[in-house]
Amino acid sequence: MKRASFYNTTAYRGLRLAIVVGMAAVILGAFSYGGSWLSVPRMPILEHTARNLYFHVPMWFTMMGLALISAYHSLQYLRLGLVVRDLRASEAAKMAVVFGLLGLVTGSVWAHYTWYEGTNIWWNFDPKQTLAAVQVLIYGAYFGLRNAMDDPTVRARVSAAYNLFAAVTVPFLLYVLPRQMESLHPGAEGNPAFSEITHPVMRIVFYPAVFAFFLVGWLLYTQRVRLGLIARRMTSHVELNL
Amino acid sequence: MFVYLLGQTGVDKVLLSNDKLPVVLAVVLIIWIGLALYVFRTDRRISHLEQALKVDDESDKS
Repeated sequence: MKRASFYNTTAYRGLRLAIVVGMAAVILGAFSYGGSWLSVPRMPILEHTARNLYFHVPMWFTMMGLALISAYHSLQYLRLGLVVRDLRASEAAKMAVVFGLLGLVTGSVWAHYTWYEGTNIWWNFDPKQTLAAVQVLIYGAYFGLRNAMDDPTVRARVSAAYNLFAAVTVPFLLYVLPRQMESLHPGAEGNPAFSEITHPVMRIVFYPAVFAFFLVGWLLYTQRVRLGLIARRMTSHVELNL
Repeated sequence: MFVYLLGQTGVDKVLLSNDKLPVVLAVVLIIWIGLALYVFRTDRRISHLEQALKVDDESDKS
């Protein structure tokens, strides 16, 4: 008997397996040291914390990916007005905020124990840090806006328009502007992505890490969408009964 | 340097030991806890739906 479902069950099972295996491999790779081939050369100040590249940076890549997904669905909502698009846009934005917050906290902890070691600094208004916080606040305002409106149609339309604005600010706040200023983050010298001091061997763990966190973000986001669809179906069912 | 070492708290000492490897652990744990909190939130929402469904079933019986 075919199970009634909103999603492809086999693909979902594969996705979960990929997350478990991929994430385990990433963590193993990230914590391999000593003579292992993935061992990262030691740097002053950074020491072993260079490995945070595998965790802190994918937070932002995943956040941007989810912001893009959210903007895509907002655009589709404005075109055709399907309610599921609004649901997808808001759940993707919610997940983007979660990853953005994790990116902020992990960055703060990383900097505190490296460049600000011996000081009491947790937040030093590094340009990228500050603008990333602004970015998270812009997405936070998206939910403030949503909560401020009661009519679902108006809420969906206005928040979709706002969401497009929010998505447009992402490349500027996270890439263009921080690179104009002196920062702890690479890229300020016109270097596109990795800084020159990033050892090539780190890419072997870094790219799978980005991929694995993308999958985690995707899984959590789609779970919420499935849940939202069920909730919607149930409430409309209840309304019909009344 | 001496004053700085005196000023270190226990947490700082642990995190800065072993060439700062525990800092990576801290970052991984923050991410893990953050995502787990989100999973719990989703789970709570499922429970709410399940409870709502139960109410529905009972009203269907009568």
